[in-house]
Amino acid sequence: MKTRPNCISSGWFAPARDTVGDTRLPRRAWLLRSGVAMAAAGGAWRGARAQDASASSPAIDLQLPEIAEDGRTVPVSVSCSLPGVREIAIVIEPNPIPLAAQFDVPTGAEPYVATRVKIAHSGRVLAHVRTDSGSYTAYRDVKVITGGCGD
Amino acid sequence: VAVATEAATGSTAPAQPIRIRARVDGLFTDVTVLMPHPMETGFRHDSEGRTITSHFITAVEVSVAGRVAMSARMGPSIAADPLLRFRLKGVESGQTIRVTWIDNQGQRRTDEAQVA
Repeated sequence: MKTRPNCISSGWFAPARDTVGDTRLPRRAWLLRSGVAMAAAGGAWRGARAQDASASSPAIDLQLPEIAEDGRTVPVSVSCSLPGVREIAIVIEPNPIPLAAQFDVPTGAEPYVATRVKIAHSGRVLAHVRTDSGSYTAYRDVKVITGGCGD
Repeated sequence: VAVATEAATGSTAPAQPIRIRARVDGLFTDVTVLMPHPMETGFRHDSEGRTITSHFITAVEVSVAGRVAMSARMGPSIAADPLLRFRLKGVESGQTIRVTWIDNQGQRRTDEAQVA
């Protein structure tokens, strides 16, 4: 089995130059490993992880196909009926770098994002939503026919 | 930080323009952004077994009329040629929408469009 590069040693963390315009992006966003790093990323996300075993939040609408023919490009969308949404994150559990994207939802904007992700093999996709009052998680299982992270 | 110029410009073709579509629909504005980019994970190998260097967009920022409307951090689990779709409020037709991405090799690209 091939050893996978560790996210720290291979430089996955954002270098200091990672700014767009004048906005300095929060460094904790770069803790791309779901387990260790999301726990380290702060109470909110730790809470989200702890909820994993419980029911998927009904307030979050996570849409993706039940069966993905091609794991290289799988459409995912997240929308949410909760008030005061601040952040939406999409986590692909089977992937070596599970945190696919983290969106800032500005005040007053509609909490809806859609994108396309890679999924290595069958497993679970999570949507974490952080609001003013707490964090919530929804998940869906996906079956992948052709993996999206192969050689 | 040693950002080799060759890494930034040599190994890959220059970044293609970002495709931006923004249309006012009642209260909301539907925005679709497509950013041509290889989104290499760094876990793949070429035919000779050499690792293909990771190359993916790490941050995206969208501003409308000079104000930040949406921003995101991305990792290599996003599919090649990332597509983002989101909905904004309080945007008027004719305003300028500007999208910037930056990748892990230090490349960046900015493009703008008019809100329809």
